[in-house]
Amino acid sequence: MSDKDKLVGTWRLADWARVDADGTRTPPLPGAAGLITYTADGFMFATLMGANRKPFAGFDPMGGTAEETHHAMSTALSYCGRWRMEGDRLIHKVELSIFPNWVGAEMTRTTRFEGDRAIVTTLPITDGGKTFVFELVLTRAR
Amino acid sequence: MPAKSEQLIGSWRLQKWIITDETGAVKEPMGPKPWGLLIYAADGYMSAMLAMPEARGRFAGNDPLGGSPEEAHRAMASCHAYVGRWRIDGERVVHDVEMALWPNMVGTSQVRYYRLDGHRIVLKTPPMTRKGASGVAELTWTRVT
Repeated sequence: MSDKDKLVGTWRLADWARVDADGTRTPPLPGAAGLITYTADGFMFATLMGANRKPFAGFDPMGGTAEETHHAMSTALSYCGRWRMEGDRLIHKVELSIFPNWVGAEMTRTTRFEGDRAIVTTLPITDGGKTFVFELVLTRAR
Repeated sequence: MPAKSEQLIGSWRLQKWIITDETGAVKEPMGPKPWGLLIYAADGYMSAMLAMPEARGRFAGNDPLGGSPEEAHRAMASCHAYVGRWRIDGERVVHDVEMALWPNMVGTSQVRYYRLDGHRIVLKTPPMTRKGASGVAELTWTRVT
């Protein structure tokens, strides 16, 4: 089975970490949960959320107060679009994202499979004098 | 006749989103050209994202979780997303929400009356409020694949 065929389906987040060059792992959102779907027809949809998010007082998802929306945005990430494999590279071509800067972007990841887990890693990022990657460990959703 | 669930499996793009209030007035909560993607996956999971592209702007920084209150408010006021499982129940498709940008939606079952017409599906909701418009929503989606 090709990596492309292996990736198709829905995955649950088992671990999400920033991994520094010395191996230090830092979770961007402690206790995060996530669901990522890769469809056979080439679409992907990723949602990652922190624990203990606070409900809005009102009943309009797009009508939150400044405080409510700031909290909601600081604890969740969701984006979708097309996906394709190029060798071991997984490309997400983002069509829509709650984070507007990613719309239209092509994001390159590497993938590897260990048993029933998929590990999706960003290319190295350098910021503030440090080089790190973000790693998503996924298990198949049942 | 109720559709078979296989007829819903696939990816759908939002074509039209209207909300009709009790006086019959019609509003487009995300404007005349909303953007949306709806996936009914073969494994029973569903994902939906709906947005008003022209209202979105960009964040000054590159951290998706690190926007300012103003940036976060603009992003959340112009985008709605949730994921979970889906099932057919007669003339209704039910979305059992596991995760949502709007925290209130987590754990709810969202009931949609559906009408399939070739490569198009219309989902009709119970009364709700979306971006200040209240009433019954009708979302028209076109099959991509």
